[in-house]
Amino acid sequence: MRKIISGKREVILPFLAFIISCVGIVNAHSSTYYYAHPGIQIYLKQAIWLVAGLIVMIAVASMKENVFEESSYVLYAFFVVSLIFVLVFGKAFGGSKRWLSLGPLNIQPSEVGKIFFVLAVSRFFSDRFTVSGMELRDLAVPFLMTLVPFVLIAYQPDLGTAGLYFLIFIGVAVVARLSIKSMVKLGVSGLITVPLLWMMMKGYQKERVVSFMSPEKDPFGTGYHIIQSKIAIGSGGFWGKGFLNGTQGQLRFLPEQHTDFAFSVLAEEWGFVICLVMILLFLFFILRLFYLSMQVQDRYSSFVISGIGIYFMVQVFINFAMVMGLFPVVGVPLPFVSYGGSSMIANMLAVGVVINQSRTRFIL
Amino acid sequence: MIQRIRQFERDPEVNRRLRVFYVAAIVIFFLLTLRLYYLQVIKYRHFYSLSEENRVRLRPVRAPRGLILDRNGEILADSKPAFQLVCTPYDVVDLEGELRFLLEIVDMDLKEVAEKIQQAKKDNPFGSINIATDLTYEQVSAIETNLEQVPGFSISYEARRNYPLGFLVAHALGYVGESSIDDLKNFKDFGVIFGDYVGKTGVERMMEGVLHGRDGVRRLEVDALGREKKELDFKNPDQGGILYLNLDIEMQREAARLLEGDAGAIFAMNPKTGEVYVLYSSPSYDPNLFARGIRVKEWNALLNDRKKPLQNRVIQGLYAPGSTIKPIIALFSLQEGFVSTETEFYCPGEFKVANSKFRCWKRGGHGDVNMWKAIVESCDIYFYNLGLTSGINNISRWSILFGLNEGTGIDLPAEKKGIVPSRALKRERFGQRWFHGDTVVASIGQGYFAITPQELAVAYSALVNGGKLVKPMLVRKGITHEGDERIHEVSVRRELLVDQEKLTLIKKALQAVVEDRKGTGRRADVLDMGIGGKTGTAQVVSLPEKGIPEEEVAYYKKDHAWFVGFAPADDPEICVAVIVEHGGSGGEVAAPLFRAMVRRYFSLKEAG
Repeated sequence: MRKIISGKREVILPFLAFIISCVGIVNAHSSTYYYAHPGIQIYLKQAIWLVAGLIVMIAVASMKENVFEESSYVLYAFFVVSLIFVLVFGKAFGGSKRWLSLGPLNIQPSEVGKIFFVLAVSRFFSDRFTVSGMELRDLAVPFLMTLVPFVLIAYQPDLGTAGLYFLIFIGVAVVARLSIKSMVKLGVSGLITVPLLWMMMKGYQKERVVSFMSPEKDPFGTGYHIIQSKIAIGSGGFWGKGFLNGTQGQLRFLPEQHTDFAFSVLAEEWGFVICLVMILLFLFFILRLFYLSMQVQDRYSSFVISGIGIYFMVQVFINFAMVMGLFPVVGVPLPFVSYGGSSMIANMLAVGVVINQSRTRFIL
Repeated sequence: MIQRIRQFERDPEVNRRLRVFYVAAIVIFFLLTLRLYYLQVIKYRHFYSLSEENRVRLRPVRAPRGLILDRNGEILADSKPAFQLVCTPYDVVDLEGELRFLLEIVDMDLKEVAEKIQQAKKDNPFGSINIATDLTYEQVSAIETNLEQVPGFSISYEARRNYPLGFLVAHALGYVGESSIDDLKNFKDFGVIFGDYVGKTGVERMMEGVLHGRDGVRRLEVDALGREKKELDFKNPDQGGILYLNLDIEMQREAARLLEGDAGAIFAMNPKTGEVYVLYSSPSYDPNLFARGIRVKEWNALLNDRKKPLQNRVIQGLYAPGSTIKPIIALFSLQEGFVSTETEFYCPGEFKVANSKFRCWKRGGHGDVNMWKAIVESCDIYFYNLGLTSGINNISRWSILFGLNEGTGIDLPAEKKGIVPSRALKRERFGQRWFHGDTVVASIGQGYFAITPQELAVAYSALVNGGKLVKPMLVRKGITHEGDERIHEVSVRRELLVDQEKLTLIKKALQAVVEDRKGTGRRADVLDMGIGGKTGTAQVVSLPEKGIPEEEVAYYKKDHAWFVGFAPADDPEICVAVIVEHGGSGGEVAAPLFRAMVRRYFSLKEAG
């Protein structure tokens, strides 16, 4: 048995990613225009990260196809170790320790790690796949594989990102034929753990959930992000206030504008039409991933691509819902648009992996 | 082998599940689009106005208050520019260095100011705080030319209330101060907003509706930290309206001169129209202190001054009327028929009721006294008898008819009401029965009697204007900044039902008080004109407060001197009430002041 390369290379996916990233760079200029800080401008840095990401993508896309399947667990182990390194030697910004310092670069292993995690979980599910489906007990090992990074990341603390791992894990399990009965059981036990989770949460995390429920209660405290973001988006209207003319953004009413709330800046300055185009671009990007996962003949590849699809779907949805006031503020960036090197590299890496894996076919 | 082959085929269930994800993505993104549409299209106006509220700040530009003019157009209150040194802590580069530089121009306490700025930096670094007020033009130009040396400091300007005549008009005009919560409520209709200056007392308060202008506004764009980015637009303030008073500042000046060094009051009005010519209470204070923000030390000094400069004696000083009450008692006794003009009482110099002995002011007595003589020579014994004849109930009733217990309705806030003796009053206040002795004392305006100078002037006006109780008017008219005219016309509170010939008789007797050789008010005489009036000496029952130094006790035990009168006698144009606290005899101390006021009035009238 050997994997062979099909003649076709995936081009639509990287093309969409590139377009979205370019919008992100323009938007990064808007969202950091107000402060004249020394050094390289944020949007230029983002452009550099895009180039670096594209290089990573091409490199990964042109690797041998079975490299990933074979090294899935090794990469996973490497990832877990780097998470431990973060907790021990990590660098803290704004109260949480998420970064590893490598010379001038600060990298965030929890971002890049999502891809390695998808690889490992997919490997496990494809190895154990049976047509009769999976029961809950079959999830024990991948559950542990999820729990380790979850705990390590939640401890940083970065509950938003940690939660993403769980959603990816469950998503891939569902694709890999988790039985309906098990899904129901999982849902019920999930309902039970919510109060437990609530008790585990830190004060500021609880505040975020409460403020999401009723932001107007504390407009200058924790509800501030949600209120200002909704004002920014809503006041953009149909055609927007114009490039660099957003008042919410330029006058700094909007918090975290070049990272988590980047879309709010975009919505204020460019309006509904461009926002709709952006939503559609993201939708096509995600649909393309699910389409590819249905097309590839190899099970591992299919799971990897669908895992990455789930990852993007969840992340984009949470970010959109968050900035529009439909979800608590959890600090999940918008892929390709929010400023951040680790995130850009991770997302481009994911695209590279998909290009690589979507080429695979099997022969006996 | 078969199993392995199967493993590499597409599993239909996996594909089915992937299709579910595919459709779920479409649904989720559709919902997001709906939400986006809701925020950006349906609720656009709502969020747009919220974003405007975020970025736009309205800063008021205080409107200068309106002018106040006297009857001849002399300016009593206007506005003048006041310059302040302000600081925006955030923009300060080298606090101590800059303060040292400023210290050479402006006198201030370096440590105190530095602390104030440090504190403000914590509270709101982008707000501006006052560092020094009332800068001179020299200081302003010295700072303005060196602004780049003191980043974070600047000069601000405001239109401040100014009383060019200061002390002279304090009690008539009152003063202004920063609006309190209550002021905001009371003056809501006049557009008073937080931080505006409003009238606190006097005409300033009474006529807020005319004097308050309409504040202008600066629309500013600010960032999230409250820093001003740019001015979006500017609306000019409208200065308040103009207020014309009946007050004659030249006569007011004369009153101030006459009362200088004394505590007392002079009130002059037109007995027919109620126009107030003079309203002066001594000692006075400088209302400019309040306009610029009075300091604690200054405020305490005013409060603790034993001569009570803040009290407006014309409308708030309560004094026993003394003999000035006599013409009123005589009038009603005639009117009610208790006595005739011919009725005589014998005055031996003293008078006994029950076990008490009461004296006439004239030792040895006046002999046989009729009403004319009793008024002219102010015989006490006659009035003791008259009081007992007519009874306390009539004394109270007629004092009340003359308005001596109800203020006058003058257009000033916080006037006090007089106290008129009555059986009920004594019962309620002291739980005691009324005695004849009380009636005797009340008959010469002592005892429980206490009235304000303006009440007395209004009562005497009624004696000489045919029995009309007029309302004194300080304000002639006001024109608001919107051009509405508000004219204060003569208003008669009520007419007394008395016969005109009886009034004429009393008026003639009052003229004799001044003009008769034996009259007690001879010192009020102005030779070339008929003058009428009445002296009064109000006994002081107790010291005003405890702890008065020994050397001042004698002063505080002296009687208050009254004179109230009118001129010209045949057709009065002016009615003046004078009180000099602890001045002694009314005829000796107050009458000359009255005369000076009348002279001034007619000399001004002659001069045009």
